[in-house]
Amino acid sequence: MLAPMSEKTEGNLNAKRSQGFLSAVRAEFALLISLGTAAILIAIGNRLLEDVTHPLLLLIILFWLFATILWSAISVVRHADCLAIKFGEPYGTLILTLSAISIEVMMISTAMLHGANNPTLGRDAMFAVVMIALGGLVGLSLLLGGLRYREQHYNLQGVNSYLNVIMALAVLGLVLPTFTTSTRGPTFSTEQEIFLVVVSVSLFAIFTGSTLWNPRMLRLSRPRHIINCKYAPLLITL
Amino acid sequence: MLIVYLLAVILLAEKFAIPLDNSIEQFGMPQAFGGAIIAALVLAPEGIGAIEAALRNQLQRSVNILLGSVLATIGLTVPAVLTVSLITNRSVILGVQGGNLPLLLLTLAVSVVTFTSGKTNVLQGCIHLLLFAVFLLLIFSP
Repeated sequence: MLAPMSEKTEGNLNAKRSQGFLSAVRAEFALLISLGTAAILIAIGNRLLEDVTHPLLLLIILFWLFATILWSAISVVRHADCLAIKFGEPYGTLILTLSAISIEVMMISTAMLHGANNPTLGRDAMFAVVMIALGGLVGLSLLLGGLRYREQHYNLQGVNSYLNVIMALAVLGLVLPTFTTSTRGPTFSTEQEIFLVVVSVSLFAIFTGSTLWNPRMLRLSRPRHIINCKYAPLLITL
Repeated sequence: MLIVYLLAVILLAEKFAIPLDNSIEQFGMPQAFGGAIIAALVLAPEGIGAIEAALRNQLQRSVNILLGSVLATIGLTVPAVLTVSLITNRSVILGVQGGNLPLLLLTLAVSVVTFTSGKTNVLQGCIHLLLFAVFLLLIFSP
């Protein structure tokens, strides 16, 4: 199924190649910047990053990395949107979700492993994700949407199943450890950790499965931005 | 391309933690501020998409994107962090403490009340923004 599809797009690509190449380079400029930055950092090693004698230099590096990661993350979403169009539902949704999650999991677990003098960084980041999304971003969406359209409606069933799972797992993961008594402090014992890992992953899998089977609950069925990915062959996009 | 981008983000994310940690130390920022910066970075692409959707009167899509990213954090990042801690044999602090604990519960409760009506207006938006403001306040004066 893949071969004829890519041949066809290959033909289209050849026709557009002469003018398409420059714009392709321009479109993927973020990749050049981020790979370049990564290469420089790997070449120099961690000396530059661990240098704390020049506060200004430290801030510049921090902002540079922040901007580069942000730009690349937006590009990841753009590519995932293209793939979502090519594959159709329900696989498009799955690709979008998985790529967004892999960024998040990597960011937070590396932050946790590297933050030697800040053991709560991972927890703080996860709590902040909940508060920024449910507080700031939901608030802003409702406020701006409300100002423009007065009252907005949506499908209750889908939203309720999200909230159900979020409430259960948020309290289990972020509240319960503060009150459990097998370990001192806000941590879990090994048995509790294994239990929570299994329970969270299964519940997430069941939730994703139910959204895939039930079209009314389907998420992200339309692309987020108007994007031009007509001529990109499947394998290159992937 | 998608995979190459993911690799680039992962490489950079690994490097980002070090200067972030040092800056917080250097400038005497509260430690929770580092977590908020990481969360902002993680949520930025989805947040842009969600607000754009709300402005196009596609609130369903906006809410789906936002709740989807919270669910991914709770449902997959927590187990990922726990697995890392099990493998590396380090105990990981997960429990939210102090004033943040009632704030988290309150936010969950308010979200349920907001989303059980099936329609929303400016008032609900303001309440959520108030909770977000309290979150920012507690970062700097816990």
